[in-house]
Amino acid sequence: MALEYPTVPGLDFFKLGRLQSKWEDRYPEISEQPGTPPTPPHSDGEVIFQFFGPGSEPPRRIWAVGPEGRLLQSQNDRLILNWRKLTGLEAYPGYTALRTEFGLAWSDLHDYLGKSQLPEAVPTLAEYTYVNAVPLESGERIDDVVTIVVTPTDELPGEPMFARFQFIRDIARSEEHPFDAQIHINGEPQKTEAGRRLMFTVTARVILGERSGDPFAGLDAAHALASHTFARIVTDAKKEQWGRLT
Amino acid sequence: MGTPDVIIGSGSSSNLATRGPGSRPIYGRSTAVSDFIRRMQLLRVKRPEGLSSPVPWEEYSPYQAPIVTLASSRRASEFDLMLYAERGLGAVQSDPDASPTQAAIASARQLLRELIAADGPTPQVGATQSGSIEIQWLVAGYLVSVLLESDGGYNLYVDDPVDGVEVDVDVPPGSPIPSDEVARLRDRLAHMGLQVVQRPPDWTW
Repeated sequence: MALEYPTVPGLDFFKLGRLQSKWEDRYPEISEQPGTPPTPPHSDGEVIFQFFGPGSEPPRRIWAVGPEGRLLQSQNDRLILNWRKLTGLEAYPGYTALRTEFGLAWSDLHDYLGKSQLPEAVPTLAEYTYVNAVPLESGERIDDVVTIVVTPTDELPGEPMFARFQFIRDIARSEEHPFDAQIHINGEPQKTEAGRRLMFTVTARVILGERSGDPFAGLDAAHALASHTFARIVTDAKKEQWGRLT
Repeated sequence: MGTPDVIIGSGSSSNLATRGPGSRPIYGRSTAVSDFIRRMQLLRVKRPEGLSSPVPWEEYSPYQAPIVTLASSRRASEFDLMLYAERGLGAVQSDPDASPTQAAIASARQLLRELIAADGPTPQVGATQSGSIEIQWLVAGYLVSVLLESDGGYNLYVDDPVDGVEVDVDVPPGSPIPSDEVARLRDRLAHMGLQVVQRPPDWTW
């Protein structure tokens, strides 16, 4: 889950380091990572290239690894909390627990900026992503996992070499959807040492707009959209297998 | 009318629509200033070989971004444009030199919601010299600009490269844009959108 905000003037890498020190008891293992440029708009799935102009430097990000697969990431234009299944033994803590933890971190960021006499971080975008790596058993195809891709019934010439899918959907603000939002579904089969798997992500992005003062309402909406989408695109057989009949 | 206090150049980390390097305010409203900006754009932007008018960066040219994006498409959904505008609004609110009121922000959002449409030109949102907000669309010499006052009222300004100033009206706070004016503005913006050949270099920020 993530909240993005326009770059806060003065929140440089050193100040981010000081902010991280607030969390070092819980997130003791920190490392520097290349930052990510702000999420590019690419509603038509276009290919984009980014480079850095003269006098500018690439964004930098701090990774802080915490317990039970948690990862807190900070950059001068976003705060991110991930949960990752690393050993296979971690139990998913659930959205509510992660939201609470993220809320505390966001509150710390807010307080830190105020105490450091830095400008306020005005959140503009809430994002929630599910990342899934689903093992493909022998003979299993993409459409045994997700419903949005269909394998042609007629045999195609040749052998499958590469496949990738991407769907982007816009949701206009309405009574039913209080935020302008966008859903991205991306996936591709991969070969690993452990065998074949389908890697796919479901991301919901929500523009906070008038509710930038209550970014967690937007985060809740992003989570709900991502969950709803995930439930709609996974086959019943897989849901049953995972015990997620929704 | 003297020369406006303006420097247009590169290397600024600011993406604010009406500010130059070093967060120097560029201008307040005046016909002369808008003309000046347009002329500077035409002077500053070189037309690449093999490209017909309009030049790719024209809709962006008063500003320079730290991150440059080359996108293969000029297309933009309403979501993309709203997000871009919201990032501009957020930047104004984070700008220590700006002090936009809630009334101005609310009015800006209402206008953006009225006027943004898929594949339209990119709305540049920035702080004005007085600390309020300007929304500006600028493509191929066509300019649509909204300069918001602290009470939420605004000046609406439309400039055409051929016919000159078409609209220069003050709209009091709380008053909607007249529906025929909205329709005209949407048509104008849609026309400008057709002439965009590249999104701004800071399309991602």
